[in-house]
Amino acid sequence: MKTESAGRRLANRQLKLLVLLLLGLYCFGLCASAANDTKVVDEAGLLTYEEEQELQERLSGIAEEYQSDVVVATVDSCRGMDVQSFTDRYYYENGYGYGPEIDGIILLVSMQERRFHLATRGSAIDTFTDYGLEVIDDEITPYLREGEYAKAFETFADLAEEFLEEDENGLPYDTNHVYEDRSARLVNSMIHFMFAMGIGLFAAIVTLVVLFQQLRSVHVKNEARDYVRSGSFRVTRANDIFLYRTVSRRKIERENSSGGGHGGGSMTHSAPGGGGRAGGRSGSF
Amino acid sequence: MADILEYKCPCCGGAIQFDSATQKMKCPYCDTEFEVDTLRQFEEENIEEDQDPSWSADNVAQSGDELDGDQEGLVTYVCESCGGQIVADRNMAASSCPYCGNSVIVTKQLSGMLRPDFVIPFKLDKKAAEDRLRHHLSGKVLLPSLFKKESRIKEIKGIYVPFWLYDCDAQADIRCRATTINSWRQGDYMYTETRHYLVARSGDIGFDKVPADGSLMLDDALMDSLEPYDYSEAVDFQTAYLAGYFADKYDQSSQDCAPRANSRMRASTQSAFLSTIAGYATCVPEHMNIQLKQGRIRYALLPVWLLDTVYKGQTYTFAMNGQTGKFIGNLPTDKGKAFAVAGGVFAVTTLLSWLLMNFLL
Repeated sequence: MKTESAGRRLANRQLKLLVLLLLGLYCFGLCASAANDTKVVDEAGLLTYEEEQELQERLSGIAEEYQSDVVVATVDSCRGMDVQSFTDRYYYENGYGYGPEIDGIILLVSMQERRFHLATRGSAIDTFTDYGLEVIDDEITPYLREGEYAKAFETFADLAEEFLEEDENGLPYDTNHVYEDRSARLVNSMIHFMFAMGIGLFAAIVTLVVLFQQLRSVHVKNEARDYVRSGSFRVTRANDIFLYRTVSRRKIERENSSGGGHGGGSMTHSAPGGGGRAGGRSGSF
Repeated sequence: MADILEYKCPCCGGAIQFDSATQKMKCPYCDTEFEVDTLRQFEEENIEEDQDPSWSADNVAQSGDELDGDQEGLVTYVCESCGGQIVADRNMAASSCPYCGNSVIVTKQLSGMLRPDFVIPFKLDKKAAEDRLRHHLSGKVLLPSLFKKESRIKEIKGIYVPFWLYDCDAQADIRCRATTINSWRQGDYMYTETRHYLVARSGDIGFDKVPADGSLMLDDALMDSLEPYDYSEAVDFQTAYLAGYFADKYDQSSQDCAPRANSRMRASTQSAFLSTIAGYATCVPEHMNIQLKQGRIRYALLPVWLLDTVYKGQTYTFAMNGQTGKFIGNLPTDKGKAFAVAGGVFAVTTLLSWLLMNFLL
């Protein structure tokens, strides 16, 4: 009896230990997966409740899948700070980012200054290069300007996902690997297909001509090469007279590289937390 | 004082005048300047008219011996239907016209046939011609599959075809416009200098036995395609060679056929000259002049097997060189097969190149 109860106690303790261990693992797992689950912070009240919910779901899905935070925040003002420092601090102080380098990207919109900032941290600095941020800027600025904030954030989410996916495939979008939106890609693949059809058409024509030639063996002879008496051809006089010259000139088109000075990659500045560096791009709307 | 000289501008063709200020010839239309000497040479080289060998001149040798039909035992068969005339041995009973297949044939006394200068005797027989036809039909992808099975030989006949053979020793002159192109870079500009030249060449060339068939009934292209013959096996004409074969009597004279020989010699002379002109970016022949110094026209009978086959009611004519065995004749195309082959090649190549493109880009 005594030994039996002792055995039960032991089993109980083991069970408690197991539960504690599992709880600890769960907590640790939560910490590792996301520091802050609120991916949409709409302080300025630009979104409806439904829009916010939808965006929240979308962004946490992306963040979870690629292990890199994707955050949208709207504020009334930057409280006198410049939008870059404000965003960097906002991201850090709210505990966003995955891993020790606090990987992730944030789009912060400040209504008073009518400015927004895209900040990248950790691995996201390479995912979203300066070129990539410029692409996002170009895509979302028109919507922000029109006041279509939901559309702007949705576009941001779409682009962030596409960029993260491309990075995972090995080569992030950059100046040497430019981003094309869906319609451009469609047009491009159609051009490729037409080109392939052109090659196919050429091959078919060549094949037909060759095979058709097999059936034709009757031709009029237009030359008498075979009948030139060997050794009879002799040039007896040659006269090359220079008559006149013409000179034309053509301006050499210089290739001017667009998009400013530097090539690919990201410029970084120091920022609080993580690896201490951040990439980013600001814009007005 | 400007000299008034009537020269034509080599650049634009306008009348050009001496410009006393620069002491040069200057074209008032296109402003191009020339040295006086250049223009004088240019005028000298100006061949106005193209000239081909003339075969009616005194320096052309041609034998005019006629065959005496009675003495040689030859007769002419005239087809009442198509008017075709063939010559054969008196003993050879021609049953049908070799050209149209009609059986209404009238025997006439041979007259007005030149004695051939030589003949190349048949080396290959009827059997060989049938074999070669079979061989000719094999390996042709687009030939209708039934052609081999269903086409049947309607007639095979060996004919000595009359040929005119042109020998020629000629002096030829050619004038070409040539350019050299030179380009360089200076500052922001790419300069291209084109220098224009008049390139004149003169030389001698000789042709031996350029053939042209003298039969109206036989297609010129068909006869051209049977070339070449090996003339070294030619022998003096004997009536005995005609035994068992037909001979065609020429109905186009040596003068009628000369333009065909001339155009062939012209093309070959031009390419011979052009192969000696080097160092120019472009060279375009403008005029050529071939002057016959010494010519000779010979009349020869060359051996040809003609085969007529019928397929789906249509006649296809084939010919074989009776000396070398070269076999020619156009064949019909199977449109369905052509469509299938083209479609297949198109689909496969398109797919492959598309996949390759997606893989590379």
